[in-house]
Amino acid sequence: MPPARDLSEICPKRVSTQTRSGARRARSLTSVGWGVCVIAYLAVSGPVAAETRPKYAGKVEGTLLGAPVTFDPIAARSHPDLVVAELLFDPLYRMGAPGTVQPHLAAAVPVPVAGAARPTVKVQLRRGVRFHDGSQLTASDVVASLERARVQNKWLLAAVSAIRAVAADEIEIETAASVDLATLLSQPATSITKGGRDPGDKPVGTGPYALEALDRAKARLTVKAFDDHFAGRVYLDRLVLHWYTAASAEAGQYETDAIQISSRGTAVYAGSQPTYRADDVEGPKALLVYVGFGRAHAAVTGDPDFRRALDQALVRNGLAALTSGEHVTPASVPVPEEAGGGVLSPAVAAGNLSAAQASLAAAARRVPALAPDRIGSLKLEILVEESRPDDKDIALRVARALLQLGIASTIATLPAPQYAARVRDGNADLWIGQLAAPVMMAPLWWGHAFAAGRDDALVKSYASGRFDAAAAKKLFEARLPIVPLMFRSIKLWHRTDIRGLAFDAAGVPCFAELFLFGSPRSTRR
Amino acid sequence: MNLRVAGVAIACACTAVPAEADPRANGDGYLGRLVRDVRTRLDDLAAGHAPKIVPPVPVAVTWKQAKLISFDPGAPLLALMGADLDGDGKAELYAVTAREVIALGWRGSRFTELGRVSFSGDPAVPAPRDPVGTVHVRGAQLIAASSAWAKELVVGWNKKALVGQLGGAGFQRCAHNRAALRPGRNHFDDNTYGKRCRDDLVDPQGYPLHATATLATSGKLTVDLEQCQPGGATCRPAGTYAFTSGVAFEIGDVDRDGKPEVIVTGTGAPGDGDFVKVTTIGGATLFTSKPTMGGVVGIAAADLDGNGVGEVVVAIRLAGGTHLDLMRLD
Repeated sequence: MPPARDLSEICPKRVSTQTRSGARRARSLTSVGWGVCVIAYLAVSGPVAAETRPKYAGKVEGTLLGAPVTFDPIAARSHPDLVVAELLFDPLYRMGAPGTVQPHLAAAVPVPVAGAARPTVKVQLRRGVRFHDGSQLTASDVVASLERARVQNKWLLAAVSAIRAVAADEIEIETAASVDLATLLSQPATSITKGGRDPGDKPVGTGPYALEALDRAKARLTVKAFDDHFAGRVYLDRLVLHWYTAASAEAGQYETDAIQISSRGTAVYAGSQPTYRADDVEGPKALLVYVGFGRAHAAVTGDPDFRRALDQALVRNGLAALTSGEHVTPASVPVPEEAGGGVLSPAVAAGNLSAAQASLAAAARRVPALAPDRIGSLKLEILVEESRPDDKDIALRVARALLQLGIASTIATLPAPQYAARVRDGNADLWIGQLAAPVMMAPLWWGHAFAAGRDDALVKSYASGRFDAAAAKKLFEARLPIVPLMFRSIKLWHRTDIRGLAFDAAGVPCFAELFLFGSPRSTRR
Repeated sequence: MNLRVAGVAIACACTAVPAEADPRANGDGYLGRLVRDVRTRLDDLAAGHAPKIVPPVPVAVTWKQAKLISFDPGAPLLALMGADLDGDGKAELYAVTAREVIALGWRGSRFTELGRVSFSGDPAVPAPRDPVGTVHVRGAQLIAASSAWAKELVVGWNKKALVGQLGGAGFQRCAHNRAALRPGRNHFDDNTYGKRCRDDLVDPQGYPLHATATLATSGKLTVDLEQCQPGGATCRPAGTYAFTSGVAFEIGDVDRDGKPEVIVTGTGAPGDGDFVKVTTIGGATLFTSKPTMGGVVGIAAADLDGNGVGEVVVAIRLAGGTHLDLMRLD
C-alpha cells in the first residue's frame, strides 16, 4: 500500500493562489493528455501543526457566494453548492491545491487488477468511516453513489462500464479505456451519500460537518462539527454561513462583527472601519462565470451563430471592474490560463461588433426571429440568481451586448430555488451561471462546460479515454454550449483570530480547517 | 527470605510512588520503620553493585545558532530525537514524519541522511487533521508512532541498514507510558500534547537523574525530576518545575553541570514565527534564538559528533510546507 498522505494537505495553510511553477506543471499535464494525468505525490503543502496546535472550540459566522440550492453533491453546480457538498460529504479522493490527488475515503490509489478482460482497478476503502447518523460506510454505499453519479453525470464517469463491491471495504471499477480514475473520483459529484441516495433536505454524509439547520428565510446555513469524521474532528464546534442579496449588506455585517468572514470587504463605505481588523486570503481563479442558454426561444438561443454573435459583441474588458478586490480574468474559452486556456487578447476582450453583426446575419438566415424585420420584436430574458449580486452587473453587460445587436432583453432576478428550477428545466432564454473545477485540470473544465450547456458532444471522447483538448476546443468554438465571460478568484476577509483559512484547487474555501486562536485585533488603538 | 520478598514489594511501591505520598511509610509505625529499613538495605545492596558514581564534568557551552542541514522529508515532521542506536559512539538524529522515520547523522564531514523506513499497515481512522507523532528509544530500538497510521514502527539497525517492523497500537511516549489520542483530535486522552522522559542524566554528584517533561494542552510544561540510586533501583522526587512551551520541547544536560536544561518553544499560533529558549531547570535563560520564520516542530539534545558534549538541534518548518531547516544551537 502506498504511503498515506496527510489529509490536511488538501487545504494548504497559506494562500493557495497558483504559482508560476504550478502553472507550468498544469500546462505539462494538459499537454500530455487526460489518460496520463497521473496522481502526483508531491510534497507541496502541509498541515497546520507548528508551534502549537489548534484548539477544538468556537463558532464562526462566514459567508457563501450565494444561496445553496441542493444538498445533493451530484447536482451541485454553483460555488455555494460545492462548498456545502464539501462540508457534508466526502469523495474517494481529494484534489489538493497544486493539482495532486490524494486518497480520502479510499485508503490508497486505485490498483490495476491483473488479467481482467477490460481495464479494471480495485479501490480499497478506509475502514471505520462513519456517516453522520453513526452507521458505517460500506462498499455498497460507495457503489450506489458512484452508480448514481455515472447515470446522472454522463460525461464524468463515461469511461466507467461497471462498478461492483468485491468486499466490505473494497470495490472494483471496470472501464472501457484506461483513464485517470482517481482524478475523476475526486470530483464533488462523486461524493458518497448514504445508500447512494439523493440526500434530499436531510443530508447524511461522512463529511467533516453535519447539517444542523438550513433557514432560507434568514439566509443562513448552520453546520456542526462531526466528532467521528475519519480525517479528524474539525476545530470549530459550529459554522454558520450566510448569503446576501446586496454586497453592501455582507460588508456591513463584517463591519459590526455579525460575521467574521466576508467575501465583500470589511466595511460598507470607504474610510469606515470595522470593529476588528481583517486579514485576507485569496484562492485560485477557478470560478468561471458564463452565459447559459435555455429553450424558451430555442430557435434563437440554440443557434450557434446567435451565440457567437453574443460572444463577439460582449465587451469583457469591463468585467474586471466587477469585483470586491479579487482577481478577475476575462475569458472566451471555459478553461483557465493555468490549464492551457490562454490569455484573452485585448482586441477580443474589447468586443468586435462588426464580426458579431456578421454572425447574427448568418443566424438570421436560419432563424426567422432574428431577421432584420423581426428582430425588433424579439425580447430575451436573462435570469440572475438574487443572492449573487455581482451577477446582476454582469447581466447588464450581457444585455448591453444584445442591445448592440438590436435585441431587447430583460433581467429577471430570482431566488435561488426558482432560478435553479428554471435553469434545470430550460425555462429561460439566457442565464448567468457559475462553474468551479480544479484550476489546472483542462479535461474537467471542458467536461463541465459542455455539461452546463447540456451538450453531450464530448461524452464519446471521455468514454473512449482519448480526450483531446485541441479537438474539444474546436468543438466548443463550433457549438458554443455556453459563452464564457470571466474567471475569478474568491477573496475572503477574516478576523485576525480566525486561522487556517485556505482554498482547495477548485477555489472552494476549506472551512474544515478553520480554527480560532487568540483574540481578534481591534481597529481602535 | 520473607523479608526479602516483602522488601522487594515495598521497594517497588517506593519506586512507583514517591514515599512522601504515603503517610504510613513516613510514620514511626511498623510499616514506616519497615519501609525505611528496606530502603536502606536495598540502597546498600544497590550501592554495592551499582556503577561507580562519577560526577559530571561541566563543559563551557557557547550558544550560537547555525544551520546544520536543510532538507525536505516529504511529509510533516512529527517528532525528533537523538540517540546512538548503531553503537558507533555518535548519536544519530531520528526524524519521525507522518510517513517515515528518517535517520540523519555525520558521515565523514557531512551531516546527511543515513536511511529511512516507512510506516506501514492500515491508516488510522479517525486521524487528527494535524498529524501527531511520538518517538521513544528502547535499548537499540526506536519506537515511532504517527497518528496517520494505526500501528507504531519499531526501527533499528541491521548491520548498516536502517530496518523497521510493525509495532503495537498506540503511542509509546516513555518506558512506562503508552497513550492514545483522543479520537480524531490532536492531543492525547490525558489532555497532553506530549511527554518526554530521560533516564540518562546525572545530578551534580553523579547520581542518576530521571526527568519527565509533560506538556499539557494548556501549554504548561511540567518537569518532574527524580534522584535515583546508582542503577536506578530506587528514586526519590527531586523537584517539580513549571514552564510554558509550544509543542516542541526537550530536556537535557548540555553543559554537563548535573542540572538539566529545559528547551522550550513559543506558544504562538500555527503559522506564526517562533523561537527557542534554553533555560536552566530553575528558569534562568541561557539562550534565546533569533525569531524563526517558521515554527519549531522538533528539538533534540544529543551528542551527534561523539565529542562528549551534547548538541541541541531544532527543526524549523514554514507552515504549509514540509521543508525543514535543522539548526544547531551550540
